[in-house]
Amino acid sequence: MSRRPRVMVVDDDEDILESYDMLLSGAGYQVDTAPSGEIALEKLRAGARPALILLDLMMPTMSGWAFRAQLLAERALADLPVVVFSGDHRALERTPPPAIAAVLKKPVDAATLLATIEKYRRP
Amino acid sequence: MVAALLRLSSLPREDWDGGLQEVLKIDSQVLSVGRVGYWSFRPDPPHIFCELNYSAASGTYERGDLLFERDSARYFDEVRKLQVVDARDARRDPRTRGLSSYLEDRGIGAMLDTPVCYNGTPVGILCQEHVGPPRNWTSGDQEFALAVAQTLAAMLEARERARAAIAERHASFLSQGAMVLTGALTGSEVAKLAARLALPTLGEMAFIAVCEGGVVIEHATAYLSDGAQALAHELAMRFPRNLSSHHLLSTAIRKRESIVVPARSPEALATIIRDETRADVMAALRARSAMAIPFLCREPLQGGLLVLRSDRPYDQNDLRLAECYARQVGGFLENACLYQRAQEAISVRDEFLALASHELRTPLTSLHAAADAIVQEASKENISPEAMRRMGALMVRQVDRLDRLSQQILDASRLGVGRLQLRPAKMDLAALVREVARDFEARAQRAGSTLDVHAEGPVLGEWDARRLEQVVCNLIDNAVKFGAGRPIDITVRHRDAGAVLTVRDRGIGIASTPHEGVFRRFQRDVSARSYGGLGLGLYIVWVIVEAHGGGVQVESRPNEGTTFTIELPPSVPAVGSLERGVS
Repeated sequence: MSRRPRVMVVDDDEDILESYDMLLSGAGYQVDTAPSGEIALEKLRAGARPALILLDLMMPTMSGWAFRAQLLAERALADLPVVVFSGDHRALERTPPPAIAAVLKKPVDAATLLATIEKYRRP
Repeated sequence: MVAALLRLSSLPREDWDGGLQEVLKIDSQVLSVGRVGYWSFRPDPPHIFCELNYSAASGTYERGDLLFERDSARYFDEVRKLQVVDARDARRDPRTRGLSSYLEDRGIGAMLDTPVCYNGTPVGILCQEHVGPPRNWTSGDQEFALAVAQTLAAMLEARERARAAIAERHASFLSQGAMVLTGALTGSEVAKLAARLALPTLGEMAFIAVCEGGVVIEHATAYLSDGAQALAHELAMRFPRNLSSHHLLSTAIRKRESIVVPARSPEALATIIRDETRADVMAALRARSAMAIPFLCREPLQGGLLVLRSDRPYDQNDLRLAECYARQVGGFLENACLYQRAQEAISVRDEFLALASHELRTPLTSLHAAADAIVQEASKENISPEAMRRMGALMVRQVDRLDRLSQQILDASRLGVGRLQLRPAKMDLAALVREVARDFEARAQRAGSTLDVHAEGPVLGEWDARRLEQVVCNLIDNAVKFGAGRPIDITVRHRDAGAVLTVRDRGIGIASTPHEGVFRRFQRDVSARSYGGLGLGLYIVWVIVEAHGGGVQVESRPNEGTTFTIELPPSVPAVGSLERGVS
């Protein structure tokens, strides 16, 4: 049996975590969810190595950009591919994405989402 | 007499006041009359006004006497027809009899009066009044009087020309000011430009202060000589930040009255201005005269202009011009401030729209993903009913969220223009709170918080149940969102026949002061980019509670939590259906 690729979803909205869990699991991924950047970091530092991280930007306490910067600062995590998805379209247009594989605007249709994950995920 | 005529022709024409004194005195000496005066015609009702009178006996000047046409119509008639009135016996002469009480009071026996014309019409009268018995006027007397009247006419003409030239200069100064100031869009730009434009017409240094609610919000300085730069800067730096001081300009702005200070020396001016911290600067500027003019804007905007000069004292002409200029600047300031406020309102609205679209996209994203997941599941051979049920439930939840959001946005726009109508009915607040808390339980649990409702028995009153449900929802939603996963306590109890509801969290608290700011529409204590929400929830709470005749209080400490207390009267006060206007 082939190993299913793992995707980590980081978003502070419980419903988004649940719906993405269902959608991505149904599409054949192993899904790891984290309701904040801090919890995602904990999991990664504990050894989780997703093939790709799907990251929300607007989160309390640690923003998506701050989380990304933290990943880049840690050698073991710096190379993980990160796809940003946000409902704040102005922020996506305003800020040049630092070391981001792709940017998706919420809401995202399944075909685009899955194609983007397939394109950038690690094997 | 020839020598006198020569002296008359050599008088300086520009100085009307000084010239007039000289003319009247020469006239009195040459014709040896006790009194010589110049009177001007004035309307409403028609009369003549004594501009200046010279009395030979005392060698003094006086002014201000009035004579009305209705008391001596014949006399006025003669002068208007450009006739010289040569009355040998003034008290009996039919032309001057009407003036008899004036004549008797001053012991005047004879009069020789000559009209003074400007542009062909009589504008005044040169009056030679002989104190004593009647006197014959020779043709030589009359010729000399005519020559003096002509001298006065020439002086009048020169005065009018000078006035027209000043008016022209003033008009061009004001119109140039208006042209330049039109381009200024902020209060600070108006202040800077207005200070610069005031020079050199209004002085050698100008200082402008703009205040709101008594506090200086903008100031600007301008100066003519480069050497004044440091001093001007010093003056601006030392200007008080509020209007309660004795500073000349502060006083003018506070009292809404212009102040003109003419002084003999820079030291004297510094003393008059009285503000000791500034005396040295004033002295160093060598300024000898100052004017402080308020702008007379609409409250809460205030402001004023201070100008200084060293060459001569300010006079009434300067004051008039400065006041016109200040009115103009005040108008531009008001416009600039209104424009700035409109800009701010637009940016608040833009921020809200961005936030609202973000908030709407969050449930849409889940809805989209769940719908995609259902399509995906439906195409499989072994459809899992459990998965379908979970996805369906999630979709319903998203639709509810969207509905609540659109309700909030609608409420906010309605409440902003005062259209909240209450439908009060008998209800139990404790039961309502328990019900709402139950609905929030799952969410609170996910956030790590517990929701404990403390209520003993029913808490009854006549309120709008649907609106109070919104209040309780918004308060609990707020507590869960900012509660940092710690316990949340909700208490409902009676007080003075009414009710008190408190919602207490132990979360991040409110950093900004005063805490009451959180009740303002679109106001958020936290960054919009990190916490979701429209910044409307607490505003809606406040409006609904106020409409019920109740009150909202907030207590908070950063990182210790926040407690909201709602007090409600037993029923909505009898103002019918309350119409609220909240901005």
